[in-house]
Amino acid sequence: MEKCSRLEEMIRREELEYDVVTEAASIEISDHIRVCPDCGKFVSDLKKTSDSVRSLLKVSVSDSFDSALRSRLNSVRNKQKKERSVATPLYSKIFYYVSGVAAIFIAFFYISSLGLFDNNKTGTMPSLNSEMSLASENPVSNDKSAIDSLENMSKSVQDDENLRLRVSTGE
Amino acid sequence: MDMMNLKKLTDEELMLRFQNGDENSYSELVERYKNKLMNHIFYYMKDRESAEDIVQDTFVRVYLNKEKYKEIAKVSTWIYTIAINLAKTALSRSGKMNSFSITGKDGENDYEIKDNHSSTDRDVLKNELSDIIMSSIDSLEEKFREIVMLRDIDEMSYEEIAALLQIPTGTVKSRLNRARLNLRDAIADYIK
Repeated sequence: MEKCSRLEEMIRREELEYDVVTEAASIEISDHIRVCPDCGKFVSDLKKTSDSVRSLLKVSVSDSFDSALRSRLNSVRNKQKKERSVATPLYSKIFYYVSGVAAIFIAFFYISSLGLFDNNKTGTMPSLNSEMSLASENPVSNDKSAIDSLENMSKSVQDDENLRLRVSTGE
Repeated sequence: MDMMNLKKLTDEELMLRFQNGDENSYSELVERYKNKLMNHIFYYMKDRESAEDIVQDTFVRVYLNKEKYKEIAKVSTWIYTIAINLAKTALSRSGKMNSFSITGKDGENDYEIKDNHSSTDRDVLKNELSDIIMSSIDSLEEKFREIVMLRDIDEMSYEEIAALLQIPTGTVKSRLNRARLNLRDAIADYIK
């Protein structure tokens, strides 16, 4: 009697999308497998093959694996730390530079807004300048006080001269 | 949260905690994946030292790129993708990409056998069988080799494999059957 290879042929053609070892009951020809000794043996052989592969091949890491990995991770952490510390001053420099430029601009605009650099603008500085500008706003009163002052000075000089003459004449 | 409680969390929950600064969660992820990755990457690199280097590189990258992980993908898929890419890059740099072999450097068997309480005769037989299985896996087409390794060696779910290889789950299963069929032919005398 010819050997049945129905299941084997399906597998060779990669038609069977079930794992024959673990899902034999699910496949379309499960009824056939139950009654066909050849296909039943075929499934059993595949299971033994799978078991042989599972039981024979095992490779584990060495005892020094954990310590070696720890030391590699430590050097990675140190490298990261070093990179961060090198990178920080550069960022700081950029930050300080930008801040400095911004501060200069702000100061310039603030001072400009006070009119310090504007000769035509008056009356905004609450200091000596304001007195100067107030004085320049009222030239008439300024001239008058200057004339008074000059008159006072000449009067004082005249008084001194009269006194000197009286002394020299012996009055 | 102590390490005992961390063990109850899913990979994705651990990753979220790690993203928020909890380094214990990272340690737990390392613990979960270090041997699985080593087991997988060993078959790419063919020697322990290179494989262990790749696994360590993988975890360093996970550490450095934690912010890049998005919850839409499984953590296992993300970690395996990093590891496999690193392994493939290392192999292509060393010019070994096309001579993939899992039988170890110079034919040496650089792997462990789970069953270590057997008699000497059985050990010999097991070593012989493991040699044959490994060279059989080695001779599989890459699309079959990758799947049998991910499923039977790394014990990943079909869905995880599908996500990792970006193929449908049905294709994962059909290729897995085909890979086992080829392997069965190679070890038929040993599994009767």
